[in-house]
Amino acid sequence: MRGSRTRLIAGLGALLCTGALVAGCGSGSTHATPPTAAPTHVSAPTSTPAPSTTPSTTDAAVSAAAQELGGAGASLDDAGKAIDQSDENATKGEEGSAP
Amino acid sequence: MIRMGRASTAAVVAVAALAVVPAAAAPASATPAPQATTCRPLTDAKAKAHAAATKREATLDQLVGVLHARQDPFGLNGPQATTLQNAKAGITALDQQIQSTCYTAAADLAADAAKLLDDYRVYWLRVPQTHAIEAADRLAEVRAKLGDAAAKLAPHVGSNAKAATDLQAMNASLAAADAMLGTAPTPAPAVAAVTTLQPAHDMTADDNVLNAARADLQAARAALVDARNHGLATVADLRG
Repeated sequence: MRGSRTRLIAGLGALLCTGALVAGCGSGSTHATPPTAAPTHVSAPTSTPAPSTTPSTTDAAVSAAAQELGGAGASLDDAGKAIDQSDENATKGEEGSAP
Repeated sequence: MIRMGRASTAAVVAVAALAVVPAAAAPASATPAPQATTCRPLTDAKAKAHAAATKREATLDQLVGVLHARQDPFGLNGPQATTLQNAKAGITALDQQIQSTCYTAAADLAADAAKLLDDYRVYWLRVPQTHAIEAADRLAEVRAKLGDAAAKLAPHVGSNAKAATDLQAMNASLAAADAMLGTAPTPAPAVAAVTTLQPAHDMTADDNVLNAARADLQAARAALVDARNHGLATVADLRG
């Protein structure tokens, strides 16, 4: 009876070890040992990717640039009017005919 | 009846002669008889001068308002506003002088009224001068916006060849604008020269400076228009 139980436990252990990295499987131990966490060390990347190169940040930056470009249009129009008003021939009026 | 001797008679005649003193013999140091001093009313001419002064005062106030509403990136607006305010004070004082002066000749009033034109040149100088400064201010604002846009786009051009080409063209146009306009806070020489202009009877020299500045401002604006168009093209390239 004890031998049957031992074979049963060993069979169950084999099933647990199938496809899994479980410490103690190779030793044939009938006592399942709690799996140890695999090492999680990640080496630092050689170049840190700029956060702006991700699609979402690119879209945001391009949208912001587009907004600046749009606002510049009205300012250019206003500047054009000011340039026109800086023409003394258009503004001197009666002073232009002063003796 | 009293009979006078011949000597007594001669003395009486001499005394009588002294009594007759012609007015023309009065001593030279005495105050001449006051002539009539008539202030000519010259009502219409004075009213016309006052209207011209009032109109110029209002224009100068309006120009100061234009400058104060701006950011003044070149530091030109403040000094120009002070110049305009001083001109207004001068016109106000001249107007008061004209209104209170007793003119005996219309030509004298005309000479004073002419100072409103020649000595201040509000419309021939101050208006175009102030708007040239305003134009430089506005163009500097545009330049800053376009520079910010180019900086935002630069990290995202990457391997997009067309976007890179358009952004490069944008930066070249911005540099061309800088050459004409200056880079805040330093204005280009032609723009800075506008601020030194003074009223004059002969405005030829002032006109030359104003024309040169306006030409550079127009060129700067054209370059900024190009830069903006290249920037918009870059945005379109990146958005695919």
